[in-house]
Amino acid sequence: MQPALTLQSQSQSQTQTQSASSTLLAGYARRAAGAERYDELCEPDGSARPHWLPLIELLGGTRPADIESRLASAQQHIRDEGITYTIYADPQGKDRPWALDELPLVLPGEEWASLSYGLAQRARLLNRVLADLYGPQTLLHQGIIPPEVIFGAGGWLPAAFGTKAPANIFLHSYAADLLRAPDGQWWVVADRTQAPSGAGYALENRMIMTRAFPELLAQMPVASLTGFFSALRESLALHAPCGDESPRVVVLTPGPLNETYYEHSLLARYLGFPLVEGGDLAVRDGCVWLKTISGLQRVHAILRRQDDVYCDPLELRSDSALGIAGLTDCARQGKVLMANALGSGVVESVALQGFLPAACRFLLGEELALPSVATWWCGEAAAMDYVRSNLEDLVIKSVQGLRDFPPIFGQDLDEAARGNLIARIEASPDRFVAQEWVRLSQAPVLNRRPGALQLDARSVGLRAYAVAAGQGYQVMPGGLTRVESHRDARVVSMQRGGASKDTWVLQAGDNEELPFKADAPSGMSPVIHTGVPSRVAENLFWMGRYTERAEGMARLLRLTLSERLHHSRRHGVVALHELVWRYGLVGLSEGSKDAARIPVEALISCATNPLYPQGLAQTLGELGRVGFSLRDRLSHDHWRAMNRLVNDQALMTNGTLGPTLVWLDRAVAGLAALSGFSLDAMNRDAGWRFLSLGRRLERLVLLAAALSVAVSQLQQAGDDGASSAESSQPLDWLLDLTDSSGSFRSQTTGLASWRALRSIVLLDATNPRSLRFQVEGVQQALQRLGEDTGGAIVGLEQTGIKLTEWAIGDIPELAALRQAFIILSQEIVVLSDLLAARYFSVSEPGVSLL
Amino acid sequence: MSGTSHPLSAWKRYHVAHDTEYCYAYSVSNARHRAHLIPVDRNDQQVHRSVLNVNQTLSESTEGIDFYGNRYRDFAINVPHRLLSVQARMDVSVRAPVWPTQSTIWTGKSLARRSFDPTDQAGTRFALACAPYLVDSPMIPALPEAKSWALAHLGSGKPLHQQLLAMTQAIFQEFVFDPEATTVGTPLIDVFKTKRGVCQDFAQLMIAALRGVGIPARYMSGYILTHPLPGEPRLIGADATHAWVEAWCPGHGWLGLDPTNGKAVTDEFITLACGRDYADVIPLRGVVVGGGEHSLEVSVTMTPESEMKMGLDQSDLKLGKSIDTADQ
Repeated sequence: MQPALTLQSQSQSQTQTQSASSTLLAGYARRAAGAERYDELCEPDGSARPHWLPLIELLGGTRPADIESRLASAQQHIRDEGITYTIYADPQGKDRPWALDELPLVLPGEEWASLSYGLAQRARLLNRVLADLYGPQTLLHQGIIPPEVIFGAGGWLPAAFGTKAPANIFLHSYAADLLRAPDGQWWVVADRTQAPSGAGYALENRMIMTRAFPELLAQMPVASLTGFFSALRESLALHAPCGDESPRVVVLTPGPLNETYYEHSLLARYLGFPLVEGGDLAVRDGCVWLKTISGLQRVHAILRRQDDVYCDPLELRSDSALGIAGLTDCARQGKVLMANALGSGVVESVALQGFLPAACRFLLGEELALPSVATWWCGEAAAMDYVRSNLEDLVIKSVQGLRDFPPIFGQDLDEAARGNLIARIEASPDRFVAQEWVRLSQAPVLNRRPGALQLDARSVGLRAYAVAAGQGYQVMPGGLTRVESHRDARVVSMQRGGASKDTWVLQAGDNEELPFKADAPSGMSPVIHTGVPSRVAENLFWMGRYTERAEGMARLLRLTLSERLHHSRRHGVVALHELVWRYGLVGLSEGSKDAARIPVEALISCATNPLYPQGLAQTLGELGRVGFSLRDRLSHDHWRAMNRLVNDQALMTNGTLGPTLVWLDRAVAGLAALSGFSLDAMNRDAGWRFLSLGRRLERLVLLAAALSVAVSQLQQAGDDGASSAESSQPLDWLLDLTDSSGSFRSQTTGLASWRALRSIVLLDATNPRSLRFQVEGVQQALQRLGEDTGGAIVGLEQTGIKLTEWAIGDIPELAALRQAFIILSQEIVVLSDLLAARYFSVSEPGVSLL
Repeated sequence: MSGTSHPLSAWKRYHVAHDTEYCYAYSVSNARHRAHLIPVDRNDQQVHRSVLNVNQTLSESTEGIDFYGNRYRDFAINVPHRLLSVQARMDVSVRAPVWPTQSTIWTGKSLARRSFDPTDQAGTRFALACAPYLVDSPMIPALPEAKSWALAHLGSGKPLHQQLLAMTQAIFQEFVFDPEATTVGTPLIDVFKTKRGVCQDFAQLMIAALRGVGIPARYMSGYILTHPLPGEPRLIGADATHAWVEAWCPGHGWLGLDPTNGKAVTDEFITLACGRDYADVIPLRGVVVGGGEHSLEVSVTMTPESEMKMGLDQSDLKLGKSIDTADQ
């Protein structure tokens, strides 16, 4: 917890506060002046717009050091939470931390009310346009929209023609990219209708701000975002075509490699829907089903976060590994609700924007309240003439979108280049769209110079969101403000390295509901929980294995390194090295038979170096990867603990002994904490059993290896002539490794010989690291799983029988034990394969035939 | 339509047997297929009978009509199988399309509307029919090379239908038919460079050329009658599926052109489906789980009614479930 800071610092008087904020403002106004653009904060005369005053005064009244510590904590939170955004073009860009400027964009409630009306109307219109284009096409037949514009748009999906969308809603989730012109007017520059991204990041921004500046949000009447998400949740559940069943809704993601995967998992968690990948779904009998460990379960609605053409390798792109064969047909027949409908990308076409006012009058009988930036489709002769004579003021775009070519700014071109461009357009004018170039507005950002708080001006754009609700659309009172890294930027884009801001819509009166909130749908059915998807079960199993493997490694390396340091117990050192080798952590050099000669550097490298093959760092890396794909199932604290561990600063290529030992302590403790979370913070559903099975099986792997090494140590000592090695050879290392000292010392004070500790390590049902504890745990988990999914699989049978024999009879001699441990190792492998065949294998992807 | 003074020619009836066999290295546990193997009645085509047989038990089987007016059949198999055999059988009559006697003199200008006017109903009708075939499609991107090639072959100021035929013949003369040169996935630009390929390549190449200069063009999938050497019997299964082009000729309508054979479409062509490119009309596509490597065998026999012997096709229905797709 951070110290409770008051923003209105005690030491400063009211006048000091006022002077600090006016200094802040004056500095900004000075730097921001002169731009021919709208300034969000300042009036043209340099005074603050009234809706910003409370925020500026609060900032001015806060010690810069306080603000700095808040900012640091917000950025720390972003790293701890692993909030990421992937930049495709940047080789280093994978999982880039989310960029947030903590100063929000503040908008007054009255202004937002009219903007919100316009957004809802635009969503309503685009929904009707989609229903028409994939149905009667009246807009085309009546000459409202030229067919060329639709059939030439990159998003036109012939396969979606004839789609019967449930409740005739094609567009469930809509986003508009807005910019504010120098005269203060808002314009739409792009519509996002396929799978609009960013609403989850807007929510995340609000969560970060609430954490870092709780008093600000408490003191200012900022509209809450939660109603927007409940509206989405309720609307999907309400319209899912589920008949008498309870609606089952899933969030479909392209997977952890997608730029906004973090957001997908956040949405899934926040909405309470399972996060699935294409491979988790299958089409049978004209319906969509989720592959779970208990078999197929019907899915009624899919909130998708992947583009149209990747959704179905049978009808759409055959090279898509992300799709579900047959999905298009299910969607067309209305058997599954797609949010948004397949094919909805067609209305993202810039070429369409100029025809929306006429379409709005035709379909809704209303004037379009929130128009686009002036747009000319060059396929019209009059538009072409205009473009020819005004190119320097225009931005030229492709009707097929950014993939065709990036926007061309007429002002960047010299006369010759303009001539060339005109010729290019005239050759196939249908392919080009011209848009008026509008200067973006500017807003203040925090300048992070230490010791001095300063506000700088940057270009901003706003992505606003609406969801289908009731008879219309409900607009998120806020949105994702995107801010460019420099002031004169002409476009804002997260892919180009921009940052984001929270957006604060101030409510008109205190604690009053905003007037534009749509009615929540009534009679909503509860959303039911789905069974555990097979892929999730597999990932949980591996999360259990990697967690335990990392912990085993960390314990073993810690013990080996410290024994090596003290040289105290000769036998132990040899045995531990043997085990390090058997557990696969180091290889022995050619011809070397003596595991004790493993260089210390190799052990350190195994513990810290991310390049060391299958060392601790890489195992943690695997854990992080699996954990990321299970993000929606883990609690915040669990996730953050894992994320911290996986990104520990000790994981580097040139570790040294001292810091490595400290790191291993930290790793053991951190991994133990992860075990705690999986015990206490996860539902004990069937999924949890896979996690538990993974842990126990992996623990058995190390235990079987350790016991084998102990037995050979004893046999070796016997061969060397030591009499009664079983009672005289010390096995402290085994005691330490199995963390069984507690049980042992409570029972005896003598030497940790095999005779003294064998029943603790093998048979003690109360020792959570004993062999019996693992084997019984595995068998119980298999049993329970069988009850959940119909028919249990049997595992570790022979080992179980042996343990019973030993418990009621005697623990046998070394040779027999050795044999039993070999059988145990084999049984572990067999069980792992059985689990995979029974529960995991159904996620195999399909192959396209052409 | 104007410019068509010839009397309609006589119908010729054919029987087609089209077998597709996928043989997999391992068992396929689940398969989902779409077949564009059902001909429909068209201007110069009448379908009397059309049957699809699949050698496996089908868990699902549905039929539909796509955006381009083609009939398709979707089917799914959820029993493990290593052999998928799909037999299409059809009896179809076709007649020679009317060849225009006159058409617009093409001046090199795109046929696309130059100005959108909401009251221009003829323009709207044209755009509704042709706009999908004027723009890029998944397998036919805009190619500057194709456009220049088209301009070089269309520039003589003759009526468009004659120029279209000349272009069809030019492909036949300049390009070499070579089944080894390309696969389904070969990019169009490679066909332009190597000047080798098969009917699918030549059709798509001609479409790219036509769209490049603003002439609507669509991809046709079907069969063409082959002629045995004099005195030789017709070889069963030796034919293949065929692909050709329809180009829009103002004043006439769609004009069938076969660049692989350098001629206009005759009464020896049966149409299965039309679309923007091959991807819209793939005769049999599918997504299978499992299977590993596979081999594919396709055999087609198109037989004129005059050569039909009694009992020739009694073996038609020897396989599992048959699906009557048309009975007219």
